[in-house]
Amino acid sequence: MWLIIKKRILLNIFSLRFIILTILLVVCISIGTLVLLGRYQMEKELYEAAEDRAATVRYYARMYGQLHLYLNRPVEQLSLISTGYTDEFGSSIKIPGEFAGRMSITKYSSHYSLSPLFGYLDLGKIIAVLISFIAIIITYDSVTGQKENRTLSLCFSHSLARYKVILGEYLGAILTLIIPLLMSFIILELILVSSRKIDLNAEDFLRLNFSFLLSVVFISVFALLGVSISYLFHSSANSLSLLLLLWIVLLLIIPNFSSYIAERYHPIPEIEKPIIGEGSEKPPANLWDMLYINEKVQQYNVRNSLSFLSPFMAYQSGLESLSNTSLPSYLKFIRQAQNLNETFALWQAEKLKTSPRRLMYWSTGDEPLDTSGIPHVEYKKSSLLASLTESLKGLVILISWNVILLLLSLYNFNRYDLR
Amino acid sequence: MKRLIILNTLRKYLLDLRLVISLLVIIILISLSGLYYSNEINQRQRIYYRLNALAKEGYSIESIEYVKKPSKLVFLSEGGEKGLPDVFRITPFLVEEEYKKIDALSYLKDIVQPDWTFIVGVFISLLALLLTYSEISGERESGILALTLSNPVRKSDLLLGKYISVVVFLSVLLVMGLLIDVLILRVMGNVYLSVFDFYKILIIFILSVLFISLISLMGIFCSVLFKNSSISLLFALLIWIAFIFIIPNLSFIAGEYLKPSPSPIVQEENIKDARRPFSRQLSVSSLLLQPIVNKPIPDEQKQKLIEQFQKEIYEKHFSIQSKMLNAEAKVKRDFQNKINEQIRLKFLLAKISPFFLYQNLCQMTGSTGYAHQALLQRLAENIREKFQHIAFDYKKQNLFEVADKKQSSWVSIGNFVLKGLSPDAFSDIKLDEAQFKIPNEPEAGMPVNFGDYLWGIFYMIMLNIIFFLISFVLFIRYDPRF
Repeated sequence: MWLIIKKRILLNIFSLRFIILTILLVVCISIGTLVLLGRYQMEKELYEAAEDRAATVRYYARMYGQLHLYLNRPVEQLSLISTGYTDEFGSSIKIPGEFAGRMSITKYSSHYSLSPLFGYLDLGKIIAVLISFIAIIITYDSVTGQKENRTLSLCFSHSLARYKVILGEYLGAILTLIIPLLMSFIILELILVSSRKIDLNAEDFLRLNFSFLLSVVFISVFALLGVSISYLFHSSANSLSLLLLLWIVLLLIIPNFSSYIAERYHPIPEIEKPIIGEGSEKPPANLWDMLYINEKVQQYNVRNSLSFLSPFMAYQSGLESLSNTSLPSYLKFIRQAQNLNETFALWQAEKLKTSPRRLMYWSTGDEPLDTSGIPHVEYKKSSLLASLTESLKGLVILISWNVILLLLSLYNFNRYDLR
Repeated sequence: MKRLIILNTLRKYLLDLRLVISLLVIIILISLSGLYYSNEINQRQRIYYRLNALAKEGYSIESIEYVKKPSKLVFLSEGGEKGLPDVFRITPFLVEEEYKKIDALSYLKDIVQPDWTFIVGVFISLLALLLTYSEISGERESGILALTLSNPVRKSDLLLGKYISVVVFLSVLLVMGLLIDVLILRVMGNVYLSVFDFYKILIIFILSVLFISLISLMGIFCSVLFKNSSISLLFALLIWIAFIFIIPNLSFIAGEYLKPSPSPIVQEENIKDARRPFSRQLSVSSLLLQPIVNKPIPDEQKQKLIEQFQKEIYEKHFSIQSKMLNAEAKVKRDFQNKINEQIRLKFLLAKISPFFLYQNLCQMTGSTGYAHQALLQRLAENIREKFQHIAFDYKKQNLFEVADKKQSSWVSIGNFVLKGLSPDAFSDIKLDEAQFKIPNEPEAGMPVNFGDYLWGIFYMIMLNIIFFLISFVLFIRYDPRF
């Protein structure tokens, strides 16, 4: 079996298609990393602008009714790997307390949500699309190709168990695929280490390495798919056509279809933006934004529950959890804001007991506002362990894809006609 | 001889099981897309009518709303309509874009709209590549090519015959697809298309044929360039992935990098800065009233003097308020311009890919997407200029009546009162439709950026010609031996 693996690896590595595709992947990863780093830098500056605004508001406040806080979420360093949901909902939450209007969310940057075919690009998507394509291209003729040039029946004239052939082909494909994957992760980490725009700590590197492991499980699905489709047909052109069709279905059709189902299954009810202080139906201090986000999150949950249908979706959600940009981590952020709002309101009430006059009134002779003991505003990032447990779901889905495909291919290959 | 080659190739296609299956898949996809859009078009129309009625009720002298009319050709090229604002709020100084279709906000990110350009761009183009990648190299491998060329056949005839048969085959598929789409919309969704719509559909058909022919030429080019058909397939697929995925996506992030998107947080500060110099001038202070009150004249005369002075203050406040709104509008317009510039850059870069160019041209033809949004922005700007005159004249005439009724900042000394003009003094005054009629959106017409449009078509045709010529030159020097 080791001979088969070695043969497969050598054949793959020295084939022109593999070399070209690997170069393409490496080029895309390097360009993508550089450009996304520039974008990260810009977002970081905008985050600092948001922090400045929060400080200004606190500095110039003269009345308790005017004072409000902002909880700003720092731009995740690993959002390069997976953009996640922050771009959609916003990352700066106004904490109004009891008096300064409602909680509202702003984005750091604003643009039309027009996007090309695969949505917003991040490194996770580049890797997912290109490496699965490489996997298909190097495995589609692993069995049929041998049959076409008659080496397969020759191979079986030796005393060789059939499962060993299929395992050998599969392991060979995986070991080849790890090379471009490893190259792209090494280049990515090298660029990140040498760049001054970003400083990663040990935890971030651990997260990156876990993403690498997840990617290995992900490519193994496509290697298995390629190997197992490869012997369903007698000509390799047919197997390639079917594989490409499957690739498009898994990459484009199923994610879109599950989004469509989520939209239909959980439509967002019409929520008019409430006008503050109008009529008797004054909305609670929190707000339209929160209601809207709640509805939207439920919709996404419906979609994510269908992620077992496509390895791409499972991989994406795993990467989101590992780079701390997933939906649950966003919800944690919102919950932090709500808790902060409550403690802030309590603090306001306490301060107003001692100086009730300063609620909505001040004169030039007054002392500056007493802000001692004001709740500390700090975003708490979720821990590595929490992210890992979150990403387990995607990992389990990918592993079960692997197991099912492996069993199917072993079972089928035993009945395969070599002639 | 050429006719024979064409007929022969077409027969080969029709007898191939793979192709028949792919055709069936494509037809099913087109029907599903038709079903999806027959529901969608009606829903968008309903939302439009409701919003339009609401907007007309809400006309006031301070703002009018202009609702974007949904295009019926959205089933051909959706163009990300759901991600674009659909209401233009026109105030005397500024046009602001707003999202009002709250039920349509339910769309999730990254979702691809299953429209015609998507099916043609992804599936039919893939089919075109699979048909052509082995046209020459495959025949060379099986030895047919040498046999064919031993007959009195010119090489140009052979190449042209192959090309024409692919394009004819796929054009028939395109016609069938369009017919099915239109029929499903008519039967299932009761969508009536006008004559202009059919002209546009014809143009989109021609664009689709151009695009498909380009992709087939690339397949033929690969098959002439490489002796081995599996390598030619690999290259064809690489080109396909680059067109569909790599170029548009990379140019979108590059556009965001080169022209950063403006930040709403910085914008808030900018607006405050723009207002600051004026907001101080708007207050009324007792220092203004004091000299009149101190004058040694009877109270009645003082009252008259104050009334006169009051009018002056109203006029002064009115002009300061206008200046302030103008300054604010300038900041907001800059913000919008930054967004627009970024999108224009993104599109310019992405149009290197024929797939994106094709989608963009179809959007221009079908009045959807960003191209149409830019047209409407200009239209709304025209409306705003007219509206500004009307609103200004009205306010000038009725300034004193309205200003006295509204509560505003004031100071008093004894019985004498001096008031300032309230910033929302005119917000309650309704505007009849008779006073100001909003021009209707042009029902049919050529796209705004006619230059862009022609350039796009020219680029597409040029790419066709270039690829044909290159493959022709390569083929003339081609060695048919195995």
